[in-house]
Amino acid sequence: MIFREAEDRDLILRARRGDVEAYNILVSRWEKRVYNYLLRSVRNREDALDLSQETFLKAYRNLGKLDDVERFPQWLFRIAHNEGVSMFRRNRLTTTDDLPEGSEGIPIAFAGSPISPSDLTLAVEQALDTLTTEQRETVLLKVYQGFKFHEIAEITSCPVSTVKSRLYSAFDALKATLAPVTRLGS
Amino acid sequence: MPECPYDLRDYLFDELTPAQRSEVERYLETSTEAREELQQLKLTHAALLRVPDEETPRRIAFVSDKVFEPSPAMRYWREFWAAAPRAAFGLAAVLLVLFGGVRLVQPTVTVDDTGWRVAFGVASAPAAVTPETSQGSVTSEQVRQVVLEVMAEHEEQQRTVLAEIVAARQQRLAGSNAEVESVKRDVRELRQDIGDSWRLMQGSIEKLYEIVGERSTLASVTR
Repeated sequence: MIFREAEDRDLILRARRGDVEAYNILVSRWEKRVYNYLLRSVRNREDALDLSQETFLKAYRNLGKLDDVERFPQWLFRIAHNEGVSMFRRNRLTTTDDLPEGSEGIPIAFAGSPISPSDLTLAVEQALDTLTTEQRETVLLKVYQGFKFHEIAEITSCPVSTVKSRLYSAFDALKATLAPVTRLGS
Repeated sequence: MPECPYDLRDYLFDELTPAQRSEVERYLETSTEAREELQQLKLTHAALLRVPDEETPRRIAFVSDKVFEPSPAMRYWREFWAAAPRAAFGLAAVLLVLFGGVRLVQPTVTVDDTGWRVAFGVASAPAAVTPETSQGSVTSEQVRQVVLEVMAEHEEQQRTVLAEIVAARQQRLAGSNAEVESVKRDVRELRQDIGDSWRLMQGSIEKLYEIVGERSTLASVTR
């Protein structure tokens, strides 16, 4: 997890004192990561953007409660994670609903031909859709955001052993689902 | 065929210690099946990472709004506590020196039919004190030395604190003109505190000299 400690720390401290411009700089550094995390969670661009805005709004209002500014990344993603969970509960999304646009009916295996980047993207997104919500969250936080297991445990409020179990079972499933694709791509 | 000493997924996600990684790497050299398994894990990991991040459709930004800004009272309160440690230190240093000096000489004032007198130490009957009967009499020179030592120690402490404040602030706020100005203000304030402390000290010493005089002998100092 890249955290420009010296600079982000100053921005956080200034934002705590009411410096909105400092907070906007902080947001500009983190919005892409948060947005993509939520996008891969909820699979809808408008929802992901709305949730990102809510995340940063809540983060600003609760900056005073952040005891250790070094833990800002985990703290921020915990807010984002909770926002995603809240949306899931409101909308009761399932893995069979809200697939990415244009992905219906595209097979994962492409026998006999090299796989293009866009096809690989679709294959990966479909493979992620086969996971449970908890498994997908863990994969997103570990693989895409680079958090350690104990940090993911803090974000998702569950034990490290549970985080590991979810990630490894997810990875086994992804390995099996993406095997035809990875053989072509290797 | 012995099994791999650790989970290959722990190895892939860099969750092993260097010693454990070495053990796995030695095992991989002996097991084709393990190497193939690890290769498949790496390909899966690489495939996941091939999915690029998207740019946010539009920037997320906040405007200054009274809803989010702290009230003037809250801003003042926060500024006050930010400066409080500095003010408290200055005040504590001054009080320490004053109390230390007072405790050292323990002045007491007694009033009787003959008038009033100031004694140093435990107040007792106004018996004449002679060099033969005094127990450890203290001269004004000794008092002066003690006070000078306390002042020097206080000045040294102030210098140390000043240097630490300046060093810490410069390290944290290097490159920012506005913050450098803030540090300069802190230095000026602390120097003013030092100046105020010195003036108080000088006033106290002058009063002590007035009380003690050049040729009087003090009674023994008792705790």
